[in-house]
Amino acid sequence: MNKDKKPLNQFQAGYAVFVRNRWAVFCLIVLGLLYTTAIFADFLSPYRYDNEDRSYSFCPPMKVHWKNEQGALSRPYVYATSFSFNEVHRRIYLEDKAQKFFIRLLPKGDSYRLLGVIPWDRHLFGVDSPGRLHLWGADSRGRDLFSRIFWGARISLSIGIIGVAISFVLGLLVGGMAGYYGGRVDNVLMRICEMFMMVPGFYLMLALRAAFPPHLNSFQVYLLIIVIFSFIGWASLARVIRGMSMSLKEREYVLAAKAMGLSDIRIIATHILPHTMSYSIIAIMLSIPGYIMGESALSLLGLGIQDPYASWGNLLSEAMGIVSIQLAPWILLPGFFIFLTVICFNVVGDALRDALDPTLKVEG
Amino acid sequence: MSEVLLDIRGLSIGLQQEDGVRDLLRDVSLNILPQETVSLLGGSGGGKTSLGLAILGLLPSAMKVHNGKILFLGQDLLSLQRSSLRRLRGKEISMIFQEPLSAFNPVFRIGDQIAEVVQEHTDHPRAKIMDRVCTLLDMVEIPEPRRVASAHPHQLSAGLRQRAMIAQAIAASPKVIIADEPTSNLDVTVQARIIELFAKLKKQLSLSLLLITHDLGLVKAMSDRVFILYEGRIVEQGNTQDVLSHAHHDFTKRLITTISL
Amino acid sequence: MIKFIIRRIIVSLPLLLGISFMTFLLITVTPGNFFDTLKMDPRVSPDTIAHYEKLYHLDKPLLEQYLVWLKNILKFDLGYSFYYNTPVVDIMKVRLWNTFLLSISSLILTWALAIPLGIIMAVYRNRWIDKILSLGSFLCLSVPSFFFAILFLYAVSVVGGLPLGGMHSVHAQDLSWGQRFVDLLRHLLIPTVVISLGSIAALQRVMRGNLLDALGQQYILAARAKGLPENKVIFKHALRNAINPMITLLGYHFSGLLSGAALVEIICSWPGIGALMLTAVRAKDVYLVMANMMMGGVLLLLGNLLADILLAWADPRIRYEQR
Repeated sequence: MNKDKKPLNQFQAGYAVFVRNRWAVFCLIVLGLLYTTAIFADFLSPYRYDNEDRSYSFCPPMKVHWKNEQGALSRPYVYATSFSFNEVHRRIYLEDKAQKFFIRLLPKGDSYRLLGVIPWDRHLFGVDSPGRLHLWGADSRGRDLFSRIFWGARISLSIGIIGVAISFVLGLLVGGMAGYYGGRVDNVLMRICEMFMMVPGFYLMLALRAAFPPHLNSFQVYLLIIVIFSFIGWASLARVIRGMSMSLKEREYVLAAKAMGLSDIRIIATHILPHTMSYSIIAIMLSIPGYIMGESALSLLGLGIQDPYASWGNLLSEAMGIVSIQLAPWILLPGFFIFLTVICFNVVGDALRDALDPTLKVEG
Repeated sequence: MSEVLLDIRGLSIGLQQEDGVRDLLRDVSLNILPQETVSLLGGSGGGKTSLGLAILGLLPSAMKVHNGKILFLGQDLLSLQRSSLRRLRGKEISMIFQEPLSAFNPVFRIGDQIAEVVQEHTDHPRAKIMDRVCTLLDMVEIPEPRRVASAHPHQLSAGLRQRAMIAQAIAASPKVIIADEPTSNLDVTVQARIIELFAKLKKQLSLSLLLITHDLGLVKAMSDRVFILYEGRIVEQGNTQDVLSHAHHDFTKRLITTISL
Repeated sequence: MIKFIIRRIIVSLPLLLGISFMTFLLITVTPGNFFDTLKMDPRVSPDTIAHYEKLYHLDKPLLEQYLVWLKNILKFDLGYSFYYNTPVVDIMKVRLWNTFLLSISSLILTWALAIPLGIIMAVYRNRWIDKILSLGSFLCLSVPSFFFAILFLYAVSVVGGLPLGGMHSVHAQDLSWGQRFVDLLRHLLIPTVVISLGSIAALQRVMRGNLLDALGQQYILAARAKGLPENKVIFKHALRNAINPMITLLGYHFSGLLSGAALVEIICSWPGIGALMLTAVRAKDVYLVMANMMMGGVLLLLGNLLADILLAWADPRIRYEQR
């Protein structure tokens, strides 16, 4: 064994272990890609989320052709689509080989603001009108599913991060304070915690949502959902942090800091909480899936993000009718994205746990 | 010349570690005759326990026998079928462990655990098994055998537990008992009593004992012959008296000086 | 033991009170109430509305409303549901039973599958079966339950063979006892499987871990040294020790089921209290929502209590220490 290696600190050692886990690295990359698509959704997708064309209702995924009629390679293209009705008056879509639409790079399309700031109207790829490009099919109103999934990523993925962030700040503060002060403060804070923990999360979510009018504007709904999740998630973290804080406050550097007259909040924030970092990071990673699924569940039930805005949850609500799935199985695609995201977070979270401290028992 | 009970020849055991194989035992040879106590004396962590485990075929997967033979009444245990080896365990050769609290299953009663051995290896009728268990407990000088039999391991004192483990070891009348540090977790007075018990049982049941220990005092008190294990090899062997008075090897000399201090 | 239980219940009462007050505030203080829809209906006269408002004390100050509700709770009168037009207790009873049915069947399915699977994984550790089951359990843990519910319903709709929702078939009344039971089972299957998926995956991992821990213990080595056959070593000695700590999980599992089932109930149209909660919340049916929340809290409390009791009972070491 290499006896002359310098001892690494916890995070450097953890990094080394983490990087060795190929699946974890792979999943981390996938997550990075997903978040990138969320940020650049407006550029990467051919259409805006609300760009609809009813004549393309439930249009199936279009086939992209790479070879022309003679069998030679050509620039990718799709045929125009026409529809007719079958015996049971359902639409069926056919390729109209008379018209070809080449897939263009950086065409002009719906205008938007890149990164929310720069006004632009070029998209990564698309077709000239009157052609439409539905790589992954269209929904009941003829809106491109590919685009809506990418736009939906914005909401679904961001709610996870922001909701978790607020929960954790709350949980860390409350837990840190309860453990540090002990006595009455601890008692009261922990009773409140228990109260929140006693209510089943789903019920609390519904009740909180119901407390507000059913029809809010979408931004308000977005904020509301974040607030709701923050309410649910902080309690269990607070309890664990409180335990850690209680044992940490007896450490020498804390006593030294007190002797130097540092304010309590400062001590908690700079001396105690950083030592709960390993646990917190792992817990964060493993909790995000819960938040993403929670938002999806709310939107699925119609209580979350509403039309025309897209979130993976409300995209799935179209799939709630069995008939729709039979007509248009591609409607299920957003669900697979949720699944993929959750898997990735779980893999990374598990790997982090192995890397930072395998003895920790962290609940997701 | 009575028949050799246990004859270990040239045994080598290796331990698989992250960066290669470490030798635990190198070319170790040892034998035990009927009704004698043989000691394997060595420092802690020196691989002594692996010898005992190897005899019963219970080495953990990281340890492997590279070389050698383990002959029991002429049969090579290392080439024996798993099922035959299992029949041997507890019946012909049994083992006593260092820490009786962890060697007994905490959720079952002592009596039931000893009864398991009786049931597995003898033809005692079901109804009489508990009687047999109490007889065994009596043989190891446990007072109130019935009460002890219905107790759970953590309810007994260390001394009682160790006696119970000895009772379990003699339950099927084995020929050899392997005792791995049988008294290191007991205090001195209890130790002395256990040593007396072993002497009594040896005579009563015609047992042989393989004592694996680091305690030279124990060896002096109990064993007829001793094999000294140092860095995986047998460096000295012979009658206990002879070895102790005429030690050749450095290690042996060091051990002797430590107990005379 | 009894003292322990009573003490726990007493400690939880203020918590329940807190929950009820919090819920009450949420529902009444925030904009909108059930009568808004009625008020908009031209057929309903203002007098009728006023009459109802008086009946349910909605014209009195909030605190008084809350206290009235609290008083009634002690008489087991949980209030009246505006939406269903019956006393809350009546609806809750039925729905509670339905959810209970679903929870019990999920509990049974989970433990019946997870224990053997976990044992297999531990005994054949690191062989291909362990790796496949490990992967499977990871996937099952990660799949969102509502997504799986939708997929499963879709698959069944294509393959056929099971009813796609609800609790009874339309003609259930006409069937014999035995047939009704089978009918119930067929309806129970999909929601039960969907709910159980995650718990089976989690529990089997625990079983595997616990059994591996137990198998590494000294008493297992001693048992083998005694010459016991391998199946006795595993199933008698190791398993008993491995399962003991899991007994408490039963309690927590049960308490978690009652709320976790809600979303699946809604998607599979199973008439339980989860589905009820959604309806109540959408209609802003005050008393129904409050009763539901309280019920959720009570059930969680009972589940945790059960877990603690089981813990004390299962481990003889703890039992003796308490004496």
